[in-house]
Amino acid sequence: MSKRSSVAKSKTVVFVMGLWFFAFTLAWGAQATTICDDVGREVEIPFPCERIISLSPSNTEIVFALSLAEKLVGVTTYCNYPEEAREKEKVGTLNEINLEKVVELEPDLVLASSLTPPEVVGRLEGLGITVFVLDPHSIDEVIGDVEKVGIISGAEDKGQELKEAMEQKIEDIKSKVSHLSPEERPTVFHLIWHEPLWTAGKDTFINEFITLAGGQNVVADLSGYITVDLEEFVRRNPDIITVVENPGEGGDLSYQFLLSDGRLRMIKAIQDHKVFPVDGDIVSRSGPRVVEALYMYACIIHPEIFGEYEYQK
Amino acid sequence: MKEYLQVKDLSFSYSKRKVLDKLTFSVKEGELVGVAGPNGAGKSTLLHLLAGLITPGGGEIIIGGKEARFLSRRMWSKKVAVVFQEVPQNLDLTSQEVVTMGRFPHLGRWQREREVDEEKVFWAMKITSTTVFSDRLFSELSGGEKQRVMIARALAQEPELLLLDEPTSHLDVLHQLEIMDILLDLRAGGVAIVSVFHDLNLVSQFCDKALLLKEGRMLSFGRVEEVMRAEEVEKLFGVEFLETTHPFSLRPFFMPLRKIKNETHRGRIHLICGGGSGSPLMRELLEAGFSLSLGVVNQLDSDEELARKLGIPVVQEKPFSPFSPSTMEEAYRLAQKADFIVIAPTYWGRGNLPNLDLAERLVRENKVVLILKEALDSRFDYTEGEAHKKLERIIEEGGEVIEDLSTYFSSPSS
Amino acid sequence: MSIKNKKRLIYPGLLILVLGSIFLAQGFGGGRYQISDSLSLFSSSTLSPSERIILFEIRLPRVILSFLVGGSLSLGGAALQGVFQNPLVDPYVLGISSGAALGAVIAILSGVYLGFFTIPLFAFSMALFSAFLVFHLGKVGKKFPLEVLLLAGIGVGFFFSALVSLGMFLAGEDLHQLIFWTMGGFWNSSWREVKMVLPFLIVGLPVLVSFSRELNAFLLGEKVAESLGVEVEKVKKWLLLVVSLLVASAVAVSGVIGFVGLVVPHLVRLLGIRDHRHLLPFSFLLGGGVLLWADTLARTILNPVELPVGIITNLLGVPFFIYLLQKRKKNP
Repeated sequence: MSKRSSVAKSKTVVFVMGLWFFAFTLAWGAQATTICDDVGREVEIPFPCERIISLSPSNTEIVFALSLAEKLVGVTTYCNYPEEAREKEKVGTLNEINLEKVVELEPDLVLASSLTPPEVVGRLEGLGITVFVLDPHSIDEVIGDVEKVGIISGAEDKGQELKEAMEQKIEDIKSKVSHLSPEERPTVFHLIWHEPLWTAGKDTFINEFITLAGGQNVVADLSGYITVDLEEFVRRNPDIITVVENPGEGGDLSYQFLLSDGRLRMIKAIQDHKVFPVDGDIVSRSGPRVVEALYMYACIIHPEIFGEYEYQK
Repeated sequence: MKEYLQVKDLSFSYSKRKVLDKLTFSVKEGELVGVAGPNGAGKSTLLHLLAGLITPGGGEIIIGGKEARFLSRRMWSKKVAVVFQEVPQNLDLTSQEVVTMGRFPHLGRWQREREVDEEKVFWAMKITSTTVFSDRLFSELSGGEKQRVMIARALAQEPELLLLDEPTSHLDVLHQLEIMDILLDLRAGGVAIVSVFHDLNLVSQFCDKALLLKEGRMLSFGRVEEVMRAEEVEKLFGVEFLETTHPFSLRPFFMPLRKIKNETHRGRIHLICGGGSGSPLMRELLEAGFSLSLGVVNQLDSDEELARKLGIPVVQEKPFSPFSPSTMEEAYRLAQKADFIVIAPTYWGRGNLPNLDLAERLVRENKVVLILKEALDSRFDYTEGEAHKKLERIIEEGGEVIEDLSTYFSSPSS
Repeated sequence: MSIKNKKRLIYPGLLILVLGSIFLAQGFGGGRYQISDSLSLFSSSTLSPSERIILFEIRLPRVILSFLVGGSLSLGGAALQGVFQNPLVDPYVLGISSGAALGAVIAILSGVYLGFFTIPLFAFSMALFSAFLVFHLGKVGKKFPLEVLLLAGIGVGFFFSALVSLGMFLAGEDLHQLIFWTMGGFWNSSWREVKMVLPFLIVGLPVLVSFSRELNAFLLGEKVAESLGVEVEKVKKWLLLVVSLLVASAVAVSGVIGFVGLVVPHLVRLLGIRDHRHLLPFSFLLGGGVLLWADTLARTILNPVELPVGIITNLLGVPFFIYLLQKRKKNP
């Protein structure tokens, strides 16, 4: 046996092994991830995602929080946080999506919400575009979404980081109020709109904010987002009222109502001047700022523990 | 009786079309004026003007001595009541409630109906025979009953001038006459009445005066006896009428005649008839396309009247006089022009016997003389057999006895 | 006549019913009936300040307002049905509801804030504006032919509705405010709203009733009415004006509540009352009662959640219409 032939043989083996290895890596790399989205759809995510479109403000906030701003190529007209989001291409509103625009932008991934019409989701899928629907119903689910989006968009590490940070903050708040007895937990009424009185019962984010922050939702016996009788509001006599305020002219009508309607004068929250406007964009979105919202509520409900609540218009 | 309604040069145009042109007439208290004319003559428009519902384009209306345009709506309604042609649909009021509406112009804004109002309503319903329906819903009444209730409503207004637009058009004969009686009663009570009638004879039989309207112009106005003559009426409608006198009212009575068809001329027939025997034949023969002549008949004979109406040349003798030789000569000359002579089943008397002599003469001259079989019946003979003898002679000389004209003239030989 | 005597008893009877309804409705709250709440109308000394606020500043004005609005709408509906000689006419036929909705849209979208009567003020002004527009479009010479008015009302109504839809589309996040408004309801009713509606009713009711005889005459048709002495065009103008004011004030304060204005006059007619001298006040009282109870139902059934009262009136209207249809089928 010649030396030359054995060298040649080993080279070939190495070469073939290398080829194999290379092919294997490629195959593995090219293998799509299948993840279940929030509405139970098994979605095949192409890897990696370079062009992402968000169809809701909370999804936009998630994308930005994961430092994926450059990959974001399309947002809705309501996406206003952070500031940079305003400069992105608009593809529609919450329930009216311009399909042509979406297709034009050639996204790899479209992050839809529960408000996106199912037909739009269907059409986009039919056009070969990957759609992932986010629809969290609790803070934990929001965190889960952050993690998922991190994975599917190739920012898994960042996703983990964010998840841990959020969980940490929540634990922090929770622990500081865990010792409080029921009497030490003030009753809170959250006013979304005043004509008619619109509030949030259990199974809502607001309810979680209130409860986790050491308070009690005064309408926790009711479920979801409901309208209540003015009488009932007076009868329930909350200790604290949080009221949604939106930016711009006339965004504080409900707040004005609370301050000026004489019939509310016997309500404890009114008498103690514990009426707090909260930014609608923060408390009503299911994005990473839920933690911020929780913190706001903590300050509102227990300033003695968390510090005074500061509100800027 | 004074003049109540005076109309001078009344005109009205609807966009560019002139609907009424310078009408001038007047109506006294207690006078009934009938308005007649073809469709589209402007009769309804006239009533609307008199009711103050539309404003005249020219001319003036004077009601009760006052110029109408200075009358307030309320004043006008106190004096003038209107019964329209159209009857309200789907009206869920009782008949009594409807009639009570007539008291509207007499009540103040906040006034309730008083006893006197209830009396008037009752009176109005009594004379229109509508008290039976007092509590029935208006919408459940028949067309005629509704019309009567509407008339009652107008009567409840206690008008000085009553206007009616074809008030009898939905009514059966009994109710038509009842309405006319009501109008006559009102008239006797001093109410001035102007009514549009589609039936010419209601005007001629009941009204004092007639206003004949054609295409917006007043063809004539005046007392019925003067103004309603066959020629006027024919001009009005463009149809021939036969004017007679109603046996009871002695007023003119008009019967429209069918328009005569012009077929190919089949020949000329001279009819020997009288006393109505020729009337059915005349019509039949004219329609069949023959031209006719008649003679001799007395004046005032019904055949003579009809012939005149139909424009058929007639040789007449003075009423009740026997036929004179000169008259007979005239008839002979006329008969010469005919192709056929037809003898109708007439009553024969001394007076008209010469007609048979004429026929005999003509048959000898080889004229075709046709004798209707019925004419030979002896019951027609009041000449103690002389007429019969003459007829026999005519037959001997060549006169033909036929069953009836249509069979004879439809067979190929004629 | 015993019928006349019966009639004499009816008005006091109705008034007792109305007062009784107010008394009873006052007892409904918190999802159940409490007689003590009703009795508090007579003696309120034992109430806590909160209870007093609830009973006299929230509940009582609401009960009374629902009565006044129901009465205004029914009164307006009855009068309009008389003027138009058409029983299918409702108080919104002059485009008033669309106009009011548009006013509310403008108020909400523009964010203009002039105090608490901002939305009612805008709604009222636009409602009147739409009525004015309809009058103007519906005028032919010096007259107001009814068919033209109806068409103008439909046209203006559609136009403003389209604008309202546009507004809703643009409203985005404020959409819910608009939707609540257009459904009609008495949430947050206070004495303030009662004061907004009352003056129009105090003037409007006697004025409309004073036209009863003219409205009766209208039943025979405009021509006959005129021949009876009714100044038809003048009556139309006044009636339409007063009804517009009445209905606009009702809609401005409680949104668009359907069916009451259309159905109640029919119910009164079914009772055999056709003379407007009685039809109008009856419609007012009955309509007020109907809406009062509809609202009591709306705020009690799902307590403390409130149903918009418009939903209840619309639902009630359906069986009524089916009944009407059956009746018409029998006597066409």
